[in-house]
Amino acid sequence: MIWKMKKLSVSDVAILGMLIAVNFILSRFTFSSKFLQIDFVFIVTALIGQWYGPIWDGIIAGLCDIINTLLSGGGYFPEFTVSAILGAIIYGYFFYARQNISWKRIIVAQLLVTIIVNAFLNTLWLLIINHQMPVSLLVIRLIKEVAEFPIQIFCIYVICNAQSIQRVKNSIDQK
Amino acid sequence: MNPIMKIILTFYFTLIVFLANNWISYAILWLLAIISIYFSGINIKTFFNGIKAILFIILITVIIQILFSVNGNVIFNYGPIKITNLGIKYGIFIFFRFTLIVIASTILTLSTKPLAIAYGIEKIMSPLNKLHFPVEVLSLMISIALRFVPTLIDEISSIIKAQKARGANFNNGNLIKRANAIASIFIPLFLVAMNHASDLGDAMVSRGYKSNVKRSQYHHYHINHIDWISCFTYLLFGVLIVFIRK
Repeated sequence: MIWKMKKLSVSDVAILGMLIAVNFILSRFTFSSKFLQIDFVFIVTALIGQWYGPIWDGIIAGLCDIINTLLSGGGYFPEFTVSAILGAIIYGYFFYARQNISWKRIIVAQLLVTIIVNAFLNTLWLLIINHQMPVSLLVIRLIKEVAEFPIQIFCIYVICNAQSIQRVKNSIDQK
Repeated sequence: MNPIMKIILTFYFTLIVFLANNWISYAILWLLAIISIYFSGINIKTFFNGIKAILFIILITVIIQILFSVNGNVIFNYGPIKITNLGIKYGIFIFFRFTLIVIASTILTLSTKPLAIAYGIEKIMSPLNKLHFPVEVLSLMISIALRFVPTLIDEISSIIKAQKARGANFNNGNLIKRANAIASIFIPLFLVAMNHASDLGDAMVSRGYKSNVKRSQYHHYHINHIDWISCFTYLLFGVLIVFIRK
């Protein structure tokens, strides 16, 4: 069931289109302190995973990664699209069809995304792109991942369990 | 130029950038990049404004690469900082590689409307239709997204103003306080987006929208002789790179 591609209604297409628009906006909306700068695209990915499952989440995350890069004028590296798809599949697997997602589930999913995708795969892609990478840069990347981890967990918990958002989604589904 | 060709050539350029591994091959790629910028007709000032921010990030990566590289003969050594001849060479190559890729993407972005990019991506993905991949549904989603980005940006600025009026502080305070302030934007943003989706869904149903139906398009982009000349030029440069690389 979880690995089956959900058949989309017209409203679902409209919802996903709107969530992709939010994704485009959040990719340009960064939260920065003196030492850290993060974006909030993962919230949209988590929400699509919760509502539409890992397959749709993976497809949309991959597509958004390509379009976001093309629209922003940044360099396109297909390796990072693989990371985006895998991260989305992990969120979809853990969150799909759950009205309330527990802290435990969010922590496990985010831990997997952080270790497998952000720390391992993305570093591997950077190594492939740069041919070599100084240890200092790897340490900076790991520190960033550790600092982002609690913020990501908090944001996913708040948004995916927000009753007001779930109510609007349910009312659209019941039409 | 046709957006399909532009996207394909941008990806192709990214691919051949990774094949370059000596000074001559990079010089050839720079020549191709300069020719592309010239014929794109983009104002050079606008062009450099577009890549300025990314250039800064690339420069930081290159400086770290040069300062902490371990391979090659040491030219300068001070504590953990070690500058080697190979470090400088690879640093410059990395700078070239990233800058060239960013230039290619910037040419595409500045010379193509977002909806034309969406059209191009749909057409490139269209062979996947045979595998029952929902290309047209995805294309519709992208069109909806691109249409609603300006609307949602207006909404988000109103939400930020409203939250500031309620005392939210996005610029000061510790990490947790600022994360809380930013989280206060997201729930209203998602609610607004969902309400737009609900209205749009109703409008589409009431106009008899059905998925999996062959659709016509408002804009048509034809492939002309400029597209073929560009393809041939890029192909030629690609072949040159393959022969010149070590």
